[in-house]
Order: sequence, then C-alpha cells, then structure tokens
Amino acid sequence: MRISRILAHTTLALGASLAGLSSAYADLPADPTIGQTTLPFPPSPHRAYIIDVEFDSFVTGRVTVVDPEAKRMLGMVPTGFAAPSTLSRDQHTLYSADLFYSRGTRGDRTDVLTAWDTSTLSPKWEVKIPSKRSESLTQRYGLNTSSDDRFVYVYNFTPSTSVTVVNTTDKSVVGEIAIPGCVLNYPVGARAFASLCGDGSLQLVKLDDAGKEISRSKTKFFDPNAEKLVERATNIGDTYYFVTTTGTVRPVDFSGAEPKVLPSWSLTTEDEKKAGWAPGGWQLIAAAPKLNRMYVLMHDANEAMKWEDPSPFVWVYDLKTMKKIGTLESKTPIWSLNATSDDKPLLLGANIEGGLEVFDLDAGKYTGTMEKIAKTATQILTH
Amino acid sequence: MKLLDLLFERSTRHVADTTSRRKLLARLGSLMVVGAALPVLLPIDRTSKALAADKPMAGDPGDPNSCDYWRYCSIDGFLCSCCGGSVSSCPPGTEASQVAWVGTCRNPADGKDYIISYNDCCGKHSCTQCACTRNDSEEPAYRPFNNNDVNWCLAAKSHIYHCTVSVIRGVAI
Repeated sequence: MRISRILAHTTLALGASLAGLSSAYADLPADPTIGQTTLPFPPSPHRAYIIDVEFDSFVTGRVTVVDPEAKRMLGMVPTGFAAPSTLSRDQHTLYSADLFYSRGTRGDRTDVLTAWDTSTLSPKWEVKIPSKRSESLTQRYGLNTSSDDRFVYVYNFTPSTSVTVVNTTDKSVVGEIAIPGCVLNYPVGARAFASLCGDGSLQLVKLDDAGKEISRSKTKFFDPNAEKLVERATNIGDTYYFVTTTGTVRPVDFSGAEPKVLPSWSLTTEDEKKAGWAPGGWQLIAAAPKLNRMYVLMHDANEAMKWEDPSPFVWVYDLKTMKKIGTLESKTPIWSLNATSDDKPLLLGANIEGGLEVFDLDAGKYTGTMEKIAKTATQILTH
Repeated sequence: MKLLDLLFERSTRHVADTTSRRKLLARLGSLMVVGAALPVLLPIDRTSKALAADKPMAGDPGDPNSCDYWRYCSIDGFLCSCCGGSVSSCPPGTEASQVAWVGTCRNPADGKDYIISYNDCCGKHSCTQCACTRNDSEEPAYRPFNNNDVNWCLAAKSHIYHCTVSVIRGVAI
C-alpha cells in the first residue's frame, strides 16, 4: 500500500537520523506477551469499591475498584441497571444483582445475582433470581450476605416487598420471603435479617440452615408520625445505628434472641440544633469499628427537604461516650460516606463532582481527592 | 427517580447557602462543566428554555421546563417537558408507568394544595435533560409511595427510566 511505503520510508529516515542519538542505549526487547493484571489477595484493608449507577446512562452501571492511598484505579466491574452490590465477608467475592434486557432497553428481562472474583474482577458464577429486585438508587441494605457468607439476601420491590434468599454454596435460589409493610434487609448474624417497617417497628426474620424462614417477630422501634428515620443506617457487627432527620441517633442491638433498642442520643447540643445543624446525605453515616467512632454528614441551616442533600461537613462521634469529638471538612460536598474496618482506618467520601475524598482517621486529616473517578456514585464498599 | 444533587438546580442554591460568593462562583464554573448536559442550572438557559415552554394556563402559573415550577415540588428525575413530552405527557416512544408515587404541592395561583403523581416514562434510557430534584414532601423508604429514590417504571413493559411527568390528581383535603 502506498501509504505504508511512505510511512516506512519516513520511519526509516527518522530512525537513521536518530541513530546517532540513541546509540548509547541497547534496543528495548519486544514485550513477550500482553500481560493480565490481577489484584492481590488478601486485599489491602483500604481497597474500596465505588458503586456508580451512572444516572445519565442508567442501563449499565459499574463498580470502580480503587486504592485510596495511592489514589489509583485498580479495575472495574460492569453491572446491570443500578445494580445493588456488596462484598462477601471472606473478601473473595463482590456480588451484584444485575438486571438486563435482551435488547438493551427493551426485550426480555433477565435478573441475575453475579459473583465476581475480587482478584480477577471476572464473574465466577451467576444464578437467575426472580425479576423483582428493587430498582432504586442503590443503598447499603438492599443486598447483603449472612455473616458466614452462606446466604445472599436480595431486597425486592414490585412495589410489594420481599427478600430473595440465595444459597451461595450450591448457587441456587432458596426462595422468596415476603416482608409486607417493611423494607430492606439488615443482616443479623448467620441466620437472620431485619427489616424496617412503616408502622415504626423492626421485623426480624430468622432462617434455618437451608435458608427457609423459621420465625418472625416485630419490635417497636420509633414513631413514624413523629420523626423521619433515615433507612440508610450503619452497623458495627450486629449493632445498627440509625439517625433521624433531626439528629437523634437510634441504635439497636441484634446480638440477643430479640432486638434490643438501645438508648437514643443526640448528634447536636441544643445550641447546635438551634443554629440549624442536622444530618443529611445519601449514605450519611459511617462507622470505623476499630476506633468505635461514627462519622456523620451534617448540614448547617438545615431544612426538612435537605435530608438527602450533600454536605462538606463531617462530624466525628465517640460511640462509647456518644459525644462529638471532632469535625472534618472537604472542599466539595460529600453525598456518601464509608470507613474502612482496619485499625488505621480511612474515611472515604463520594463527592458531588465524581471525586473520592480521602481522610486518614488515624492522623485525623485529609489526604487528597481522587478526582472524576465516578459519575453518579451512590455508595462506597470496603472489606 | 433520584439524581445526584450536584446536577440539580436546587443544589446550586444549597451550595450558595453554604459557601461564600467567591467560592460559589468558582463552584459554578465546575458545575457548568459537569452539568454540561443539564443547562437548567444556568439562569440564562432557563430564560431561553422559557421561550420553548408550554404556554402557561390560567391558574397554573410558571414554566414547566424550570425546576422551580410548582408541580415539581417533590420530583426527582428528568423533566419530560424538556425531553420531547410535556408536564403531563410522555415523550414519543416511551411508555407511562401507571404505578407512581405522590407528593403534595401548593399552587401559588390559588393557594390550594394539590396531589401530584410523579409517573415515570419508560423504555428508553435516561433523557439527561433538565435534571431536577426537590424533596419537599418526600418520606423515607418505609413509606414507599412517598419516596422518590425508587424507579417507578414498575408498571411499564420495560423498566428502563427515561423521564418523569407531574400529573394533577386532585385537590388535597
């Protein structure tokens, strides 16, 4: 081909003219093959997985895997239609509850639970699940594992509510458990999950080793006519922390036979409340278990309608004393928080410009931002 | 449906509440880049949009292409009026989902509270025009029919979300 000959001549001429310059170096060897990167196991405790629902191109979303210390992207998992995602307790698996149409935006619908290897970021297996899984902005208690990883609980909303139980050992759907009047699944130990109910109660469903329901009970928790309790809680083990939109913390201990509602406490002093401080955000709270601390996105000049708005202000609480012990601030408002579970934890915040804010909680300082790592990040997962 | 607040007109106001004017101007610069597909953020664009807006009806004041329009008090998604439809009709080739969530909005013309259903138009992917979120009467997920974080394409053949219409269902008692 004529173009190739011209190109070859040009290249030769260029090579000849550069020969004198490059003679001090040996030729680089040809790369023997194209490599295939895998991520190490066990993962660094600081590795993070950003759930990005990509609202402007909602049909496919992604989970972006990052190293927040090095501010480096490690890889990506493509998911189907605002897919809820969660990590297994043994750190080997990322689950996504994917929804696909055979013609992209139309055609036959298929829902699958996909199990991704956290080192190869490739699918290990999948199982078809009922076409009922909740389609919403993803949230922390929409998809979860039992504490021994035997079961995955998929929250369904049609708008009837139920939970699909998947057995990960034989990779099968055990069945569907109806939770009328209640939403989400807050995993409790190895064989139970709780749900938050419209009448202000917590429902606890206990399972047997096959994943079938053996009992359910309801515990009075809060007054839905008196306050708004944000469903996007955080937990340390089987103790869950919920906050209301006016700043009351309502903890629940699920470690006993029945849920025990613990004494509530306030995120704000009376003066702070009068000054307009109140929590708000999407995943607006996070806990660092090794520090026994909780981090809350706080608004100044709060108004009721701002309960899901982002904020640059993070207030730090000691969960033992239930006192505010510090504040952190980011340049860009943050919408969702998470903290790592190691003893030198990071606080990670998905900001509203697609960046990931990184705070070193051991040193109590901001370490930088991964800019433009996501489009519409709803959650950050860590091991 | 729910969008990230950065992309929304109301967030601009929120940023204004929480930062100095100088910072706000700097922030708006980046908003313009990020929100390039969402010109509703810019006042000048809103003026030009108004020219293309549905004609105001007597007793139904405001610009249906603006996030400030009274019926949008609890909307969360793309305005169908900017996507080839109108405040109460779906764009060509999309299907209205008859299952929806409802909010209560006050009409500034008559001072009455109206029940508004926010029906999603479905079957094509995101419209990406005129993103708007206002959570004035939104409730948490345990009151799902007052929650706008859900994809309400649940009753459409394809559940892929395109945009949202705001339909008057009656006067609230």
